[in-house]
Amino acid sequence: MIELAGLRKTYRGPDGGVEALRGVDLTVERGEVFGVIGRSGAGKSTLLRCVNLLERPTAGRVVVDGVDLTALPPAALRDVRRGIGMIFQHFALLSSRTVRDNVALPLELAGRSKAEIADAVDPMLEFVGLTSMRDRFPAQLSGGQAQRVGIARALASRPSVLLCDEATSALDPETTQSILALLREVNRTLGVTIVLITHEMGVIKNVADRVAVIDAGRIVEEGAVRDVFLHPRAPITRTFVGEPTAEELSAMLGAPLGDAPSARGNVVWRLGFAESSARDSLVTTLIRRFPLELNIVSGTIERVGGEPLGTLVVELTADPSVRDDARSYLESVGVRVDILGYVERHLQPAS
Amino acid sequence: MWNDIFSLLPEALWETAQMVGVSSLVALIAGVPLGVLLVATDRGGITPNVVLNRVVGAVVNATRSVPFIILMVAIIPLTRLIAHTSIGTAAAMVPLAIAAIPFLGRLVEAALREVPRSLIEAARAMGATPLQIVTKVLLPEARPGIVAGFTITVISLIGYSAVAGAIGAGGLGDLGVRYGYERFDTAVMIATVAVLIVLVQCIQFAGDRLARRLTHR
Ligand SMILES: Nc1ncnc2c1ncn2[C@@H]1O[C@H](COP(=O)(O)OP(=O)(O)OP(=O)(O)O)[C@@H](O)[C@H]1O
Ligand SMILES: [Mg+2]
Repeated sequence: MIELAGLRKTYRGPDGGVEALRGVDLTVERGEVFGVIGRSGAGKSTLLRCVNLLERPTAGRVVVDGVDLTALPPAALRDVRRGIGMIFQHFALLSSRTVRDNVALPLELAGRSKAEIADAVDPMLEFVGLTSMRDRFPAQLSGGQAQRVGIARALASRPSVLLCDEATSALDPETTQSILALLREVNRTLGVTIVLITHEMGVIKNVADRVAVIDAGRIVEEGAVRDVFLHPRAPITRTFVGEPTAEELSAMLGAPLGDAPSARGNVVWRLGFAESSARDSLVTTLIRRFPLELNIVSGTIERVGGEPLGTLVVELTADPSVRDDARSYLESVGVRVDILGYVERHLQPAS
Repeated sequence: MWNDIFSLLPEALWETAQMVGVSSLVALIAGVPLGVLLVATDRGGITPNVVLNRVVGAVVNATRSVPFIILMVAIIPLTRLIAHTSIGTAAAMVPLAIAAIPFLGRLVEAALREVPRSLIEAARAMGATPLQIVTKVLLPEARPGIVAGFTITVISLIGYSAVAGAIGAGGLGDLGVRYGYERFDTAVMIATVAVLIVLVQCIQFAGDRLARRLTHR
């Protein structure tokens, strides 16, 4: 339903300009929660703002529901924008309006009658749980409440898409969880397609169905959140999922981690698997079944979309043929195996 | 002496009120749109038009750099056209209004610039037209600042209106100059100054109160 094709954006400046987007292609399906994660300055906000053309791309197309927005005249573009809600890191509520009147704003802008506005605003306030705050001013709200107003306002005109620019970055962890839960509800019960950008993997794990990783204006990895978690490919994705870097691994292993396979050395694997309970039995089974020695380097269990996913980094001492057998076995039971590198030494069995 | 004060002061006060009232009203009607124009047409504004912005900005600066007494004399032909006379209270309203419009315009401009960009962005994301951004976001959000700017304008106009005595406009300032300075009638001068002080205090107090009531930050 949202299709970005060949998107480029160069901000002109005195020193030649900044290439914020360098050719982005993305498709967001109707009804999904699509997350974009990247470091500061990667181009996330620029990307999101191109979706409703707050930022006009230097090149490329933005197609929403089959309509190329870049080709629309201003009046038609405004109509399209009314069908795309947006929430902001710092809420962007009008300080001069009460909670109720902030939520009413998009309807006023669309020229709805007073009666229509009254009918639409109250259910929206109830949905976000702020009915009792309707006559307060934004200055009298906590951050979490303010973001709820932002969500109610964005949804008041019943959009089919909600764009979220770092919607929880100004909130404490607990409030973040409650806002993310609300966004999930927006997605599930109202059927709103959500595109959110963040620099926190926790947000992605919590709400997104699919994720794209953006780095220096390019999408470097994209897929179902579960798959990206179990099997991150780009180096930056690996750091986002909390995997130790090559340097950190070398330090943990006490020997440099290299790329070149060697017959004498040990291999370092990352195992990704779905159930937390599998972790213990996995290691036990491997040692029992195969003539190998195994050293656990690090391990994590994280809830991704409610499902516990585990990753385990292990150092393995085994003949190449045993390695292959063990790997086939693991894959046959649904464990993803990635080679992180090799260390030049023989594993000393723990005494 | 008291007779002088009681016969002269009310009339002078009324003349000042007329001059300041009418020119303030004109300044409000024209100065607020002028401020909006200066902000909206600026680079990165809601309807950028750099040429218009520069031209209007230059006219505003030119008007503001002419000392009021010179402005008053310089625009006498225009004053005749509008007020059908070049002397008296009515005639003074024309230069007062013309001086006040760019003055308030700049103050309104400053107040509008205080409105966070993110609010304008949010309105654009909701499909607001440029006019809606002005009427639904910029002006309501800047209202406390605009009220404060208007208060300063009214008080400044009281000062300017004293100068307008030079073209026979009357008013409190003129009274003070004629009796206090030219006739050494200290009592009348002190009374005039006292009324001016009270007047300015009252206007500032009312303006501050209104601005505070409109502020919800
Ligand atoms: N209006 C602008 N003018 C010039 N350069 C800009 C502008 N907006 C963004 N940039 C530049 O474009 C690049 C991408 O910015 P963007 O705001 O999209 O990053 P981001 O991923 O959202 O970062 P953050 O997480 O810090 O918000 C940055 O180098 C930034 O400095
Ligand atoms: Mg950003």
